[in-house]
Amino acid sequence: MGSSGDFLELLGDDLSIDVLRRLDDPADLVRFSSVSHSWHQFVANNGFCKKLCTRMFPELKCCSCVVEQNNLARASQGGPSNSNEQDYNATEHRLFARLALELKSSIKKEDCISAAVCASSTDNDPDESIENTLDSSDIVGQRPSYWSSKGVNDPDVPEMLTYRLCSKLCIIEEVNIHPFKAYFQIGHPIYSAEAVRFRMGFLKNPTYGLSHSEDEDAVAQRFGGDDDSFMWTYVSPKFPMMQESCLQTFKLPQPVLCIGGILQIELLGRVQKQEMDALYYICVCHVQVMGRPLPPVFDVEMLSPDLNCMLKYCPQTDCSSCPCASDEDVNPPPTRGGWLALAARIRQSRQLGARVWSRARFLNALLGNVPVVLDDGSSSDDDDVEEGEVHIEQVVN
Amino acid sequence: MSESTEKKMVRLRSSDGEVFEVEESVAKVAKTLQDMLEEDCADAVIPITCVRAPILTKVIDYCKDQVMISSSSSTTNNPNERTEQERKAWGQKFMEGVDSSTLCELLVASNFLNIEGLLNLGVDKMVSMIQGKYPQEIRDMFNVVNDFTPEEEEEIRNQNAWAFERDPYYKKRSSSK
Repeated sequence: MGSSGDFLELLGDDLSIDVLRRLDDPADLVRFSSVSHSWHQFVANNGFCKKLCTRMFPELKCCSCVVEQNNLARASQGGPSNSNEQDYNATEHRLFARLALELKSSIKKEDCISAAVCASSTDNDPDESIENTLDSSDIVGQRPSYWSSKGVNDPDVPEMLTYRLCSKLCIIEEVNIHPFKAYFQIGHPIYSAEAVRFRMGFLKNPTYGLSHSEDEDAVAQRFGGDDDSFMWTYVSPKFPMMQESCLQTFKLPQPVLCIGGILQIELLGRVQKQEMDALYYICVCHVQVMGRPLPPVFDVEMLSPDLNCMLKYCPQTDCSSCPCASDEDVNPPPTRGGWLALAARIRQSRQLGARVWSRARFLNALLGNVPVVLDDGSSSDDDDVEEGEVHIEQVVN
Repeated sequence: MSESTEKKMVRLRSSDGEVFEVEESVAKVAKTLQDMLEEDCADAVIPITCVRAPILTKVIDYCKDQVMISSSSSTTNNPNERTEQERKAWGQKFMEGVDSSTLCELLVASNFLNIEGLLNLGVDKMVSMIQGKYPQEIRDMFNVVNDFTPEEEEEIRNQNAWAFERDPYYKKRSSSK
């Protein structure tokens, strides 16, 4: 024992743990651990920073190991070996301290959806595709914009809408859902669900890497979003849904760390039959997943199907040149890549949809009074052009 | 004296040999002593081997206060009863001016004697002493020798730069090298 005042020695392990467990600012833990070698070891070996993180977000318990990506030599996958256990603990301490800092920061919440992955059923694809739920309006390009399930006899048949979030790690506070009111049908029925539940986790297909988001989505679409294609790290309680056409907010009991970047909305129970075919449908106009993504320095990977995850930390991701980007194939910040692809896809589908829609309307119009419209249109057009030409000539003269 | 039976006294001896005579009810606030007294295996002087006299004095002060609060708690309108806020304020006042090494001893004593309330007060105080402090301040407070090499310390600071922003103590140290 050096000086009589060293409290770790005076207090012993149990009391020291009692004290350090109550430090809930990661900066305090980091500074405390920078006092001396033995204090650093004590803080790192007892994993106080990890405990702090899991106290805030119990979902993190599935992260059984960590890796720091600019320092692959030191990284130890699947648990530490004896020789570098100390190094591993130090890395874990540093990583969870940084994570705790992010988890505690209070940035304004935003919509975290980056793409629609799949719906468990779609009545008319692409007119009633899940893609439409990304748009807040119920009318886009002069046509109704919503997702519709297929119709069924049994009101208990659930539906699932699955979305990819803009980061594999997002803190989610609430989900907003706008059930669709079929304003073009008699009586304006609202095809809401009886209740909703949210699940967050991974898309289960380890053969598809992070960079192949397109392929991952294709796999999920083939599965239709059923349970077998996902690993859930969180399942929310059930929330009742109102049969009202407004953006309904479902606030989670406490903010949840979505690990894996997939959020699925379960729509449980149907309330509205369509008069025409007497089948139950669920339709959703718009979905928002409100929260905030963790910065791209953090990433997570599923190691095994029993929910064993690895938390990755890449401090250089902030800069433009990321050394680990060349180690893995391409590792773009999930946000940007996903968004661009999504935006392109939406634009494409919108254009296609809009064209189909306007052509349909044109045909409908023609079916009413074909010859008149055609004749009138063409003749007046010709007149306009001639007048224009005359006008130009006059100006030139 | 209003009580029908004579108050039973207990004698405690600190590690440095001082003997304290307290009412049994006061001693029984400490679960460890309560167990001993109930098993009747403590009739002479009870040695508290790991607690020095000044610390034991503080511990006894705490126990006396607890007895005072609880003694008349069965009667209504107990003037000694405290609201949550008052209790907090009392705890803060009780710990006022306690330095880090006394606090360490107090924590060890309340842990050994199994006095939960005092232990919690002590831990809270310790936490408040550490919060917001920079490494050099903590070293000074607890007389810890910095056994990091300047390179090691630099590395830790670089890796966790966010936790060391505006550390006035570190600048002093690096400029003195």
